[in-house]
This record gives sequence, structure tokens and C-alpha cells, in this order.
Amino acid sequence: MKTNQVMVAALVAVGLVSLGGCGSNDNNWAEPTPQPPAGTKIAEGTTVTFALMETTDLHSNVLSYNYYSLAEDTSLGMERTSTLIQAARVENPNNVLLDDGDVIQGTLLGDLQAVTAPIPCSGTLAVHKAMNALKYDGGGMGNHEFNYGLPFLSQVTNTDFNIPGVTKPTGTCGAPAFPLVLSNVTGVASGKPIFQPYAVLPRTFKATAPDGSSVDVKLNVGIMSFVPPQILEWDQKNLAGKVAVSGAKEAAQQYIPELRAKGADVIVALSHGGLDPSPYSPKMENQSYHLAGTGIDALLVGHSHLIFPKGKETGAAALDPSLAALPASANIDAINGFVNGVPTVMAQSWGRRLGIIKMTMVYQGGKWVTQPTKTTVESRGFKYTDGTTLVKADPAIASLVATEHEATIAYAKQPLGVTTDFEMSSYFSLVGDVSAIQLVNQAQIDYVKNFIGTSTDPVLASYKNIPVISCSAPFKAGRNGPSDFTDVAPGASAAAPVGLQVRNPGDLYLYSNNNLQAVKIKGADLKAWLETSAKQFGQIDPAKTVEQDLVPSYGTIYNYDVFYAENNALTYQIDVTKPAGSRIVNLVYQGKPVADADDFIVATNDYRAGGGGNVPGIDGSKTIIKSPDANQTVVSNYLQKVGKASGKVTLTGNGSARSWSFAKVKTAGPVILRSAPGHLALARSSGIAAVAAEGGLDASGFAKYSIDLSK
Amino acid sequence: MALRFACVALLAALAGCGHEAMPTPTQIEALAMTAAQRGDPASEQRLQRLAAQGATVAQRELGILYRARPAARADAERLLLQAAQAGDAQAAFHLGELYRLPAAGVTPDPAAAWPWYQHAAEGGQAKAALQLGLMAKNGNGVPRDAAVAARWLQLAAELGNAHAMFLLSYAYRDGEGVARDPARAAALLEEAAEHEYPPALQELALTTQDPTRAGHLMKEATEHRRNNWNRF
Repeated sequence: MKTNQVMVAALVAVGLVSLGGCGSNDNNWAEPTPQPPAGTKIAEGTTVTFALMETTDLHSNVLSYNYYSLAEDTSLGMERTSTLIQAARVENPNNVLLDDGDVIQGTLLGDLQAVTAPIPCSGTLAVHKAMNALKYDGGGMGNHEFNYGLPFLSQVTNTDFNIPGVTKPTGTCGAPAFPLVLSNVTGVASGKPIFQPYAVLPRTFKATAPDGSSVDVKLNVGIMSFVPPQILEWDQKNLAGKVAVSGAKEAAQQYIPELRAKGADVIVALSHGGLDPSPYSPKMENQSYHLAGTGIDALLVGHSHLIFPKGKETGAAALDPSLAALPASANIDAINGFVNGVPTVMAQSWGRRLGIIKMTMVYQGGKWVTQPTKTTVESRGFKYTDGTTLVKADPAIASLVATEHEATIAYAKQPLGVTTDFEMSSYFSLVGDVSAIQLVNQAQIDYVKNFIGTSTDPVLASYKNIPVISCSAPFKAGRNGPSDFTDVAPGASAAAPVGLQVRNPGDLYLYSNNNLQAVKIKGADLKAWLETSAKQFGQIDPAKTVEQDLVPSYGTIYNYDVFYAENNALTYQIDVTKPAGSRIVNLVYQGKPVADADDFIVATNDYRAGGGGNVPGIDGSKTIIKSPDANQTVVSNYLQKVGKASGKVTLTGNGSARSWSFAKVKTAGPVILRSAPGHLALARSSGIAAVAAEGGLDASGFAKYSIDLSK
Repeated sequence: MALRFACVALLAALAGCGHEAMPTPTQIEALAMTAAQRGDPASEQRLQRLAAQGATVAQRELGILYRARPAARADAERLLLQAAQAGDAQAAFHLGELYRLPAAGVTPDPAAAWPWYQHAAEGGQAKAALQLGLMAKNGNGVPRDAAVAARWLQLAAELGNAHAMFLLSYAYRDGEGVARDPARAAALLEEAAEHEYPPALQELALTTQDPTRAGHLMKEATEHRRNNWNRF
């Protein structure tokens, strides 16, 4: 309250002070905001041109760096957006820089500052530090802002939401030094907006009087922001019963008259939703289209990570098919950037583009009137100058967040709190080694059993007597050449155990995008699933005397699911002499052959459960658990749990339960497996009996190991 | 607002509110959002009155609200049935869900769900068309028929359902229920990924020849993992 009164006083005194200086986003938004400038005479016919600049879906990409591959990625990052911003400011001295949300989450850096080592109230998020340095004028919210929960969002925006149970640390927390607005989210208990629903940014711009002279005019830029109502489903754990979301159109209609009354000359919607011209419903996800026509003068949109309008640079990507497919009746001009006559821009994501609406308004009849024909829209990328040259990084940004960046990289190498007495590798996964797979399966089974055992859902709870099994694949097994294999804790042994690091679960479970899911299937489905997996093997003719490849290609090796049940209770054999589709034999669970009608619950990932790999019947129709937790996290948590209990994982307990083997056959000629060279000793010491010898290298550098299928 | 409260007061006195102006469907949906998100009894009662007056959208929205409450299953079914019979496609979809999905003490009845999904799909409900595709694909409640499955998946894909686009891309890749068409399969995979279906993002990342694109697709899939877990 106090801050706002001080702020308003300052505004009155100076007339044009940016709201950005106040460093607080207290949501006492109902306080008076600047009135239309009194006493200033603007001549009729005065023209002003200014740039509304947009970033959207920054997703915590401060540097041109990919934390998942731990490598530079010059195609993204605010350190390069900064260069776009500075150039645009030179071109457009009258300008406002706004952000459309999805700021705080998205990279390992974001996770580190929110979850692993939560930033204290006194600190400012790296991404907000960069935004403050770039002197943003205002910002809206995105759906991902809610991913880390309301208390965290409250702290890092220094905003008291007035939600019971959500307390902001006392004092002023590090936060954006510019106003944040959100127009369609209210607290359930308070009934009031959790952020100020709008803000008026008074700006002094150079304008041209009818006589051609240059004059200073005061223009009030009003900003609003909207998020999809689906945040209540996607972040239900964080938000259910705490906040309510209304439709964007209803919120716009509620606040636009207030904004106008408070002197807004131009109203800009920061709408975190894509363009969907189907009939309006407050329940729809992408509502931005329907904001055109509510009285909004410009639309800065996001959420769908697209480029709108089509890039203007040489060699710009074609218009996204989803935009190209919009019906003409929707009146969306994707070349010039207008939606029903309202200038609209979407700046892709990750700082890769800067949206620029160069807006012209004329003072007519005592107010500023938009001039659509004199308004241009651009979604400007890193190669905007000539279509090939990338803009340079702004070194100021890197030095600003150097500490946070280094901490993120260092984090990956911290100890996980567990040692291993065996090397976890995928060199021989295709001949039965499970040293890099069993732990993943054990972690997934542990998670699903616990999920069902503790579920309050009566349907899920009723499944508690159905066996839970798990599958996972050797994701990193030669797809990208002979060096592309999992190899965690090389040389580890009982005599010389190796401590695992934070990054190692990501080596065992390669794909950071996967969420754990579980499906409920029949024995017949399990057999069909195993047959699909077994398609990775070539058909071996025992009579052939020429060399035969056991695995002709590693291209889709991520579809080689290896199944496992606790205590290795599920076992099966693969007869590679048979054609694909009839190779699985001796499928046994707890000593008994698996019958077609038997029930199983399989712990897997969202790719497989949702149809990935085209396994018969596994197409999303049998999914019983959709977990918000990443498989990687599940593996990491399991390793840490084992670490806490015993300090170690062992070959006996976690790496040698070989659930499958080949149906034994003697072949007349050599059968080979291509793998990384130099690991015959490992095969021997691990007891992978089928690996008989290491041969020469093939043209790609793979060693040809000879495989004895009779062993 | 004041009028509504006056109306509620009158309702108590006269046991009727005949003069309440019929809100638009969008207004009723907004009312239902308030009822669901805030647990607001006044909004729910207003929905009940509107439903009793025969407002199809109110019947549908109240039915959806009641579906989340196992004890109100019979009311949910009755309301959804009313709305679906009046031609409301969303209500028909939810009725199909109510019949198909397992619930405590209720045996799922996919065969009963089928005609309602069909009404819903014909009324433009993409998720209903997806369910029809999945049911025909798996022989759930209807005979297994890959061609029928592909037709419904096609409709669901046309209506914008990313899950259906993804499954249909495999159907065209492998010639299941349709003639093999690798180009169409590739286009559908792109479209499914564009619509953020997580398995499609991953499949495209793992099959594209462009390493930068592969990296960006996986990055996007990872970044959106937190919101895509229950989105499809």
C-alpha cells in the first residue's frame, strides 16, 4: 500500500517515472493509477510511432547454452536476444519491452534455483536478473510460472497473493524490477486477483506535430495478461482450491473499461495462449484470438512457440502448418501479423525471436487512435540481418549470471550418495546384459507399487494384487556410432566401488522428457509387446555359413524393451531363428507360464504407454497411471533411497538379474554383434557367456564381437 | 450480480425464479468454472435451476461437475443424458466416458459408450473420435477392425487431436487399416509433434535427420513435461 502511494506520488511529481523503479509487485492494484495528463495540449493530427517489443516463453534460457547436452547452443538464449533488443531500441527510440510469460521454468538452471537449491528471498533468479538488466517495462504470466508452486512464485515475484497457506517471506524479495500483471487468475479465498490485473505504464515519446515539428507526448500504455484455464489441471497439486481462472475474454471485458478510465491510451494484451479461431468458450486453451475485438489494441501472444507473423529474413522458415491451415474466414493475416485487424506478434520461444509491433497512432478527437495501415509487425530472429549471420551474444548477460551458470554445471557432478560395485553399461545389452537396465526397472516398479499402494482412488487401489512388472530399453546403445553407449562407473568392482554422481541417473535413463506411466494389460498383450521388442533382432539362419548380424541396425534400439519383475520372477527367451512375431518362448512368471488372460501392470514411460513404437494394444488406451514425475527423477530418487538404506548398489542385487536369454542354437557360420571396441574383458568378467571373441572394426568403427548362440 | 441475489431471495420466497433471464452458453460455462474452481454453492445452485429449466449447457456442465463425485454418478448420468439427447456433443462425450471408464462398484460398459461417442464425434468432439478409434483398434466393446479404427482416428486428427494424429501416422507407416503411405505418415507425425503430443515429439526427435532439430524437440519435450503429463 505504502509503496504504491509513494510510487503514485513520484509519478505525479515527475510525470513520467517508470513503474519499473519500485522493485515491488505488491498486488494493491486497486490504488489510483496515473490519470490522463492534465494541462498538456496535444495538437489534433499529431502522430506518434512506437515499438511494442515482445519476448515470450523464455523458459529460463538466459545463455546460449543447452544444459541437457551440456553444450553451447547459439540458436537460443537471452544473451543474444539482448542484441536484438538493443538494435530495435536504436531503430525505435520510442519503445516498450514486454514479456508474455513462461519465464522461470524450463532449463536445469531454472530447476536448480527452484527445486535443488531454492534461491533465498534475498536472491533474484538468474532469468530475472537478465530481464532487469535489459530494462523490461512489464511482464505477464505463463502456465509454467505455476510449476514450482505458489509459495515460490510469490517469493520470486515479491508478490503477496493473499492465499491462505501461501506466505511470502517477510521483507522485499529479489524480483523483477518491472510490473507483473495477470488478469484472469484470482484467489479462491480472497476472490481478488493474485497479481495486479493490469498496469498503466506512462511513457514520454517523441511525436510529430501536424506542422512536422517534433514534440514530446505522454502516452499511457496499459498492459493486461492472460493464462490458459488448464493450469488448474496441469498444476492441480499446486493450485486446486487455491486459485480460480476465468476466461480471457471475460477478464478483458471486466478490466478494459477500468484501464481506459485510468487513462490508458493504448491497451496491450500479453496473452499466453495460441491462436484458435474456433468458437469462444472460457474453457478453451488458446484464447488469444478472441481478445481481438474486446477493445485491445495489440496482442503479444505465446505458449505455442510459433513464429507469427512469418519471419521476414532471407530464407525464413515457412509459415507453421497450423497457422497456414487457418480458414480465411478467421481473418488472420499471418504474413503481416494481424488478427481481425489487431496487430499481433508471437516471438517463438527461448529468446530466439523478438516480437516488434511498430505501432502508429494519431491524436484525433482528443484521443489517440490506432492506425492499422501504418502499423507493421515483425517476429525478428537471430539471423535477421541477412538470413545467415547470427547476432553476437551480449557479454554483459553472461557475466551477470556466471555464478548461477557454473553452479548448474557443477551440480551435475555432485555425489548422489550411493556407490556401485559394478560397471553399468549397454555394450552387451543386446545379448542379455542388464547392468544398465535392471536398476531402472527396479526404480519404476518401486514407484508404481508405492503409487498404487498409497492411492486414494478406489479403482487404482483395487489393482493392488495385480503383479507390477517393468520395462526399459538400452536407450544409448550405438544409435549415434560406436562411442554412443551407456557406461556408468567404469571399472567399478566390489574391491573398488565407485561413487555415483547426480548426472548418472541421466546416463542410465537417457531421456529427460519422459514421465513415468503405467499400463494395465493382459498376458496376451505382454507376449505381443515382447514380440515387438524382439523385432530388433535379425532372423538368424543356423545353416548359413556367412556372417550374420544379430542386430542389423541400432536406429530404433530405444524400442528394445527389457522386462523385469522383482526377484527376476519374469523370464523369457528369444528364438532369433524364427521370423519376427513368433520369437518369444518360455515366458514364465513366478514359475508358471504366462496365460493370455493373466493381468499385469507394466511400469514404463509416456512414450511407450501413449503409443510410441506401435506396440500392439499399447496406444494410450490401457494407461492407468500418468505420473507427473520424470522417469529420470524416479531413477535418481530410487538410487538415493537405496543409498540411504545401504549406501550401495550391487551387481548381485541390481545388475545381474538377466530376465531374458536366447533360445540356444548352434549356427554353422559366425553371428556378430556390433559394439564399442575393447570391452571383451568386461563381457567375460560380467559372465556374458555368449560373447565369444572380439573381431575387427567395421567401416563405422564398431567392433564385431562374435556371439555363440549355443551358450 | 445484485439482480441475481435478489432472484435467489425471491426463489426462497416463491420457490421459483421464472424471471431469471436465460444466460448465454458462454455465461453458463463461466458459471460452471466458478462452481468447480471455487466450490461455490451459489453458482452450483444456479446451474441446477438452469438445468431444471432445460438449459442444455447447464445440464452438461452440471453433469461434468457431478462426474467428479462418485456419489452423484446417477445424477451425472441423468443430466448428461438429457443434454446429449438434446444434441450437446460435449455431453455425449462425457456420457461415453462415464460408461467406458472403470469406477468403484461399476462394471465398465464400452458397448454402451460407443453410440454416445459416435454422437459426440459427429458433433465435432475430437476426443470422442479418438476413443472410437481406440475401441475399434483394440476390439473394446466393438469388433476389432483396423479400417474402422483408422476412419475414426482420421476424424479425430482432422478435429485437432494430437494423440490420434500420432496413432494414425503409424497406421499409414505400417499400412494398418489404410494403404501404406509414408509421406502421409511423416506429415501426421509432424502435425502430432506440432500439437505437443509427447510421444510424437520424442519419435520425431529420434527419427529426424537434423541434429539441431532433434535437440530442440527433446528440449521442448523436456521443458513441457511438467504440463504435458496429463494433457492428452
